[in-house]
Amino acid sequence: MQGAQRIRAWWPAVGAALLLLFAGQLSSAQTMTEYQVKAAYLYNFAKFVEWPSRAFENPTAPIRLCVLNYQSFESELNQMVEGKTIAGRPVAVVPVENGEQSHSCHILFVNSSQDRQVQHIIEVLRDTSVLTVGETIEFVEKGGIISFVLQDDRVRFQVNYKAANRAGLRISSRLLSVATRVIE
Amino acid sequence: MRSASVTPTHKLFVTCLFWIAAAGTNCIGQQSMPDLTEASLEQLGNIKVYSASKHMQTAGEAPSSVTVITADEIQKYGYRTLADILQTVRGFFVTYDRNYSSLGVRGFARPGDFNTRILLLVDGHRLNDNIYDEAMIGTEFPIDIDLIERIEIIRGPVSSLYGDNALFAVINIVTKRGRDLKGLEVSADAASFNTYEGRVSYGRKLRELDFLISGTFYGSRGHNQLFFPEFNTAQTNNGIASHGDDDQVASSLATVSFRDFTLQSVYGTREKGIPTAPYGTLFNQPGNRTTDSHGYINLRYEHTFAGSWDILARTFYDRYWYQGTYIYPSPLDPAQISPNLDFGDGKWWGAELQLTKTVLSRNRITAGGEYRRNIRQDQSNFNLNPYSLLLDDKRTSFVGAAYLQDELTITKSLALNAGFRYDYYSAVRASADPRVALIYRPWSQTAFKFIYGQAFRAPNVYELYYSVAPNLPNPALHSEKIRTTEFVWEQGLSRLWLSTSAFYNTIDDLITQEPVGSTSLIFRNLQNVESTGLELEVKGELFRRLEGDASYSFQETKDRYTGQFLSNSPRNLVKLGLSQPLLGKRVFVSLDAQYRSRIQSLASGAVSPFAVVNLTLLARKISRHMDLSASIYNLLDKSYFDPPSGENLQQAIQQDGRSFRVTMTWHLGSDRP
Repeated sequence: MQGAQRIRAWWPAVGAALLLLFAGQLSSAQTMTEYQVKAAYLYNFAKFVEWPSRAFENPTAPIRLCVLNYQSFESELNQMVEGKTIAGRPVAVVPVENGEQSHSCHILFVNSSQDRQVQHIIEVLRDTSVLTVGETIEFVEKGGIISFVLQDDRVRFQVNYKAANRAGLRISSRLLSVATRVIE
Repeated sequence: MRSASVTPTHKLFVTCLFWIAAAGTNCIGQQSMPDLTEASLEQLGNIKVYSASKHMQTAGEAPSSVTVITADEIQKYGYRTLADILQTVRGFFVTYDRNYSSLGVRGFARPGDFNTRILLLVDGHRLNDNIYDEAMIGTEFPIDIDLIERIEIIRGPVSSLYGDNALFAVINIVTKRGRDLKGLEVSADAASFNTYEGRVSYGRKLRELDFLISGTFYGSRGHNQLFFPEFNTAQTNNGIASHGDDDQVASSLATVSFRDFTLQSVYGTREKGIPTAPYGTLFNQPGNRTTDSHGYINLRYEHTFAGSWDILARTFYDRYWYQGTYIYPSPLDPAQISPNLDFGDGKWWGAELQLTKTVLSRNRITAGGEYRRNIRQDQSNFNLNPYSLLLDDKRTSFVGAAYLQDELTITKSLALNAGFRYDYYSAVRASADPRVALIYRPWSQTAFKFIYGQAFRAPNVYELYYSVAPNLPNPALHSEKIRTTEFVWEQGLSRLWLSTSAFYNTIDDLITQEPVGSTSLIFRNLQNVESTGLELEVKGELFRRLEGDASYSFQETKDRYTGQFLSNSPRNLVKLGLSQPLLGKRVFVSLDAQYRSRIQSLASGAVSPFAVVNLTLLARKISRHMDLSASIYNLLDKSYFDPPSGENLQQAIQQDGRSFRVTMTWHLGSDRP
């Protein structure tokens, strides 16, 4: 019995040590797949963006992370966010096939293989508050809101602040400060 | 998935075992472990990723036991050739007869084998030639290893996807792209035995266009003198072979990608002096030499269509050319010489189409077809003094194949991977090869894999038709077949990654060369062989940024009829690699060591066990644009031997003692960090 109690007393210390260990590891150059990191970013974007209240039916309605025609990434993302909440809202991963299906999304991830659809999707979602996330520089330049870019084997991102404003999205300054480029 | 892309093995996560050890809690209850979603934006931006493939698998998800070696490791450990790299891989061992390097995997290497049971791919393109089936891994490998981005090694039989030759392993070399160079790169090195190498590469990515072009020259005079006791007579220079060990290589690589299209052209040629006097040639005769050249053009198209259809199409044209020059005394006048010239001339093209689609949300189906047309598979041989034609064999053939694979997600933690491939040969019997892998991942750091697979190798035209004495042809040969059952356990453990594998192989109708009477040799479907083995590996950050990799493998390979252990098969292999960054990750000290147990060699002799240690010091950005690396190979100057091939009179071939290399690389790219 005493032994068990001693173990319990050690718990927080062990936990803290592990967290430190973990944090130390993240800061060193670790290797993950590109899309694991992108999935984590998408979840993080949801934390640092504020949608207009009309974007949600009620205060506990889920944040909808939509993935356009990219099944393998969708399951990756699903695994990562399953059971997670952001500001009391659960996170749901939703597969979509085109811009028309994406109106109710909060975040829409458009993989680079969908290049041909990009112009159309941006047009269709112009007056909605969908945070569009692409993978090419052209994507933010054409009016998409965020684009991932690969720099030195690391995933960074650019933000089109103008497009975000038009969509009624409030992007936190923390997110903007990390972006490699902000289009005003 | 054809290009089974995998990530390196050290994982981020704190593991269940650690929790059990440290806190005594129940592992299953610990699902909410720290993960990537808790990383900050800054941390995410610092994680290094691979960007090559859209359908990355982690090593834990791959339906095989997988090893990945990266460009970073190649530079840190000072590897010189693909053979150097493979020597450090768990369960692999490389032997060198001072002409070709032979790779043994899981206790299996036939003497004089041209690595025919390993499939070697460069960016998915098959490199084994169409005459000898040879996977060239020494200096004859046609790509400068500085241009390798990573190497993916998939163990076990994978004929269900790749067809011929994929018996023991598939080695896929992923080359660098223009985006990895970002400008001009120049490299020069000098090494022991009068060895010099130079490389010039240029690569860039301009919007949707990515291109890389590179050329390398390598020259080595080799040992000025090599002593072979078997030739220690007054007539044969007291066993000393002078100036017969030279090695010259020229190679080039060009890769251009535009949108979904990638065009790649590779050419490599090597000429090697053979100091060992094989096939009864004259000893101490620098005219004994081989030249191997391989070039190809490969066009690939990859696209993801709406509705998550992935398409991969490729077409290629290959040219392979071999010339051996062997010096014999002339039958007319023994004081004169008579060169014997041996040629292999291969030409082939092929095409492949592969479609992948997710159906019913749980099935990822891959279906494909491949066609290879061997438009030339010629072998010839003649003596020059006096002229006599001994062989002029011209062949053509084709291979057609179809394959299907399903990756079925049964539950969140259980996946089934099943595949089947049918290969039709115009010249020999067809082969059908299934493969099944069950992958159970109860926790995110734990994977159990149960794998059953079959693979085959069709006899090549050399084994079928080569008929220069002492060889006799055997057109009745058929394919050999391997069946493997393997159990793999992979476990993340804090900053470490553990992998355990137990396997049982049986090979039926192994194509083996055996003597006929006292003067001839013939290839026959002869032996039935079984091998049992166990492999253990631990990799990761051991202590304060000290990265390491240690492995042990044990195997036993027997002839099923005679019960005798096979020759050329070490029972124990130990590998160790350690790399310590210093001065804020600008300087690296890396040490690697390999131990190989005793090998029974062909002619009832044995090759002693040994351990070799190599040490490399690498300084990155020693000036603004320059990396400098210095290596000592065989640091302890250990005298060690490799088993010979059947054509050698030697009982064992002595390997290099302590030697050195210094490499300087200038990165003149505009935006290097």
